[in-house]
Amino acid sequence: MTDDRLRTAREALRHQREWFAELRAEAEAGRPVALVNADVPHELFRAFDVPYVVNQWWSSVAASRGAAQSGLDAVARAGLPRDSEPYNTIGLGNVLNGDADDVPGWGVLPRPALVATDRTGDVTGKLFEAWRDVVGVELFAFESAVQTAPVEEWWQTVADQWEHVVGSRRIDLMVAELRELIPVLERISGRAYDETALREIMRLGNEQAEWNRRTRDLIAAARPLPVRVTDTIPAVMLPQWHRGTEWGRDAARALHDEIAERVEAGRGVVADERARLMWIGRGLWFDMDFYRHFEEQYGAVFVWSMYLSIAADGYARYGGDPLRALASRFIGFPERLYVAPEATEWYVDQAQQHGVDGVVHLVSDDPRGGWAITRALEEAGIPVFVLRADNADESAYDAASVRAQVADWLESRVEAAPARR
Amino acid sequence: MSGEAVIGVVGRDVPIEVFDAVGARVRRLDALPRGAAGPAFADAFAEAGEILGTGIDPDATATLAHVLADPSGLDAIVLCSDADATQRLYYALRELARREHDRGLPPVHLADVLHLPRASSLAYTAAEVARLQDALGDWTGRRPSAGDVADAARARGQVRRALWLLADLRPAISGADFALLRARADELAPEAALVALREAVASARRSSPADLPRIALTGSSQWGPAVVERIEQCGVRVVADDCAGGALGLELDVREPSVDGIAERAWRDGQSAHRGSALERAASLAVRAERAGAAAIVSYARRRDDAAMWEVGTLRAATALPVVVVHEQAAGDIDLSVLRGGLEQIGMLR
Repeated sequence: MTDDRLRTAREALRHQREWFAELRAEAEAGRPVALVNADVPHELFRAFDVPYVVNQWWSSVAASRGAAQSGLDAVARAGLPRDSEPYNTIGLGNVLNGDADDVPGWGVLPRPALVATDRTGDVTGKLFEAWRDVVGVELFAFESAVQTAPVEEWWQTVADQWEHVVGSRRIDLMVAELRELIPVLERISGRAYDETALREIMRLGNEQAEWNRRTRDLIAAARPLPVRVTDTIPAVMLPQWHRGTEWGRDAARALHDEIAERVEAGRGVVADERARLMWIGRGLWFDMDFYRHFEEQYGAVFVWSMYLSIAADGYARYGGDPLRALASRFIGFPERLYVAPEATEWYVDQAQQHGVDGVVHLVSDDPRGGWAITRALEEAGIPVFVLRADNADESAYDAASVRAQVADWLESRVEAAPARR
Repeated sequence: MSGEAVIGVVGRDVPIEVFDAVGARVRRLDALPRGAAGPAFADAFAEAGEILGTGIDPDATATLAHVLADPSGLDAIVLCSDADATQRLYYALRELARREHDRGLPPVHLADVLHLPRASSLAYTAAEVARLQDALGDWTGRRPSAGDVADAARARGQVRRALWLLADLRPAISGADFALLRARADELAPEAALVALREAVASARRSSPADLPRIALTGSSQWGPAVVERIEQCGVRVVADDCAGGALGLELDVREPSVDGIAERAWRDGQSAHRGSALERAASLAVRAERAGAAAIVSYARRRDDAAMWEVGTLRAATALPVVVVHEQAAGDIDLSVLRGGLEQIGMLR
């Protein structure tokens, strides 16, 4: 098999390893680092030059390198639940284990000086309190207020009309919280808040989103699919964690250009593309071969994941006060990804834009709205396979059984035929 | 709207005073029997399970099943963000009301009361309570005056104080009787609730405290007596709790009898398992339990209602009392063999 991995995915991974090694060295030298949830306004940390590790990114690394279970064991030894939202809990356990959880290829997750989180659900707030109360780390929490007046087709207008789409009251709330976070970051970093720096970070983040949008549109229109979803996920997400930097923006542009070259050359992921699939949900980090298996066995290619498309549609915010724009960027992600009607309308639109033949919908216990998403897609005439699993905890996952079920679904509902032997 | 509006309510963060101020009647959907029989309910329960999925407190599934089985008689439903399950129930009901008009579901409203100790969370909550009052005004056609609101705040404060007094009279009153009166109090007009509670207080004072081993209860919400009654079938008395739907927050008064004052109390009343700090809750429950003479604490949690799981370790560190863990339970029920086993292990039952 030829190694046709994207250059930009390799480069993103190389950069991430280098960045993380540097962060670890700085942390060891006493520089305060933060650990933040994905739905926290990272750009403010960047404006203060406070290095941060994204909790869910670390979980995906630990899960893919076999360090999730030891982290979860440490959580249990601390008297905390082992199997309650494991995806968000692994880092806590890895830090409790200290040097014992040396993740191959990455090293040890440094003990942060500050953790920050939203309070979606019942457990996120509790587990971040455990960072404070068990590990002894300073905690900053954001409220998670609910959108009660959803705006139709939010992805068409949110970049420019974010005040209306997200809602002024929720933006007011988060801006007030950001103004409370600013003195915390000033104390940790020894720097003063610089609005000009934040504006520049927002500008670069918007440019990155624009390149992601072009890339998404390119992939949606291309036949055959020019790039594997397992490549686009790291090639998009690793730069996402560097959003607001020139490197992040340039990495997004390089990804676009490399895929454009492939489209121009007519390259496809498989020689005989027989089904186009959409993957809804978080990545199946411990079984990334899942995707390639169906490419090889059924010519079924995964043309869509939320990682590129939310990067394309969810982040750009133009104009206005930078703190308000930043707040509007981070309010409501769970609604756009999991709650009807925002999520359902978007998934149907994306499925249609990409011309998919079917959807594999990963439903873990914690996200809301799986039922409405599946129904909306089926009503739009798109067959859906619901895969019930936790994306980071493989303890209850039976790969052979799951693959057999997906194969049945492909043959019976998508009418994809297996490869001839 | 003719007659008295009946509004379904779910969750502990819905401020009942606002309903009193507009003269609307509350029906606590989370206090309806959890194990209701009959094929219509069984079908509705199965459908509710499909809609809400497996990763949710089954109590929310039971609540949705009741609404799907018979939405008649409700002029609206008000939910809150007191727990993830309540929010998910809101999203499901909102989507069903939006998409499936033939179900006859009433309008759905979320009162998004927040609890972080910040001025911004308080301001947001104040706007939410004002929004709730506007919604109730739309449904009932009644716009309460500042005097109506003040009267309602004071009257509901009296009800809360009477319930607090009654909570402290356990074990002269059983935990199950207290839970029943607690859930019913929200559904009665304050005057009627006060009459019932004063009678209960007088009756409890005439009774001798039951000579039974005493326990404190923490964990999942307890709207209604079902689980407490089952626990007490083991030959113990629940004498203290920090459960949503139980005695939690009864000691908190409205400081200013106004819409903003009602909101301020609701914002302060955030020490539930789902929204509160494990450390503060454990410290508070340890005192409540000791004062009430409890010999053990029972941590009860329904399946996929995970908040209590995150508190057990902290609770054990905060008290010398043994903590018996009974988690992963079904809606409205408790596995008595597990509870008895735990109580026997610590020598409370033989």
